[in-house]
Amino acid sequence: MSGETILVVDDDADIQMTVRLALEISGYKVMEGSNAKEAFDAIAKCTPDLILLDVSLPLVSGWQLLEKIRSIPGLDETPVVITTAHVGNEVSRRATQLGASDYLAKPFDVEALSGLVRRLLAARKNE
Amino acid sequence: MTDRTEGISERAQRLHDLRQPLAAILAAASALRSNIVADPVARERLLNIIAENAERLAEMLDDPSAND
Repeated sequence: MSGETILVVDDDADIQMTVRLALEISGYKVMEGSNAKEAFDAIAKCTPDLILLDVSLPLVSGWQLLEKIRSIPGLDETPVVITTAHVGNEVSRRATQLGASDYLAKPFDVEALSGLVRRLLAARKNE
Repeated sequence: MTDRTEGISERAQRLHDLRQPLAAILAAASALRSNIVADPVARERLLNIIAENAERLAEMLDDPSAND
């Protein structure tokens, strides 16, 4: 069991619950937020090792939240995976531009998600 | 915004809305298929997520306004 902490930010309760189950069984601790405020409340309690961030959040978008996360010392290099039901080159370009580590198009397979999380955390440890 | 770009934007939004329940269905189904979730209560919850989101998707597809 690795024990790293993953923050899952998604306003869809079903996606959140499914991702949490899959990550917890893989040995990660999971914090959740369904909007920017809840995400920052979670970050205030515990600095995450990786963040899964949905783009389509209410009020403050995932893109805006990513910009804020990147401006916080200690989170400026934390791996952030963008999850989005929008597809296309624009998503990829914007994710890279704003400093996301990778992005995952919805719908996604939780095994693919777990694999990506594992690779990003391993890469971070080896830096 | 031109009618054409507005049309593209509306179509993109519609596709986005359809992908949301589909995303929940695939995530839950892949968790069940991989057997990573063994707890019967959690498996039951995942099955409910699949059923509820499939119903949601069917309603969206049956909605006449979605076929403008």
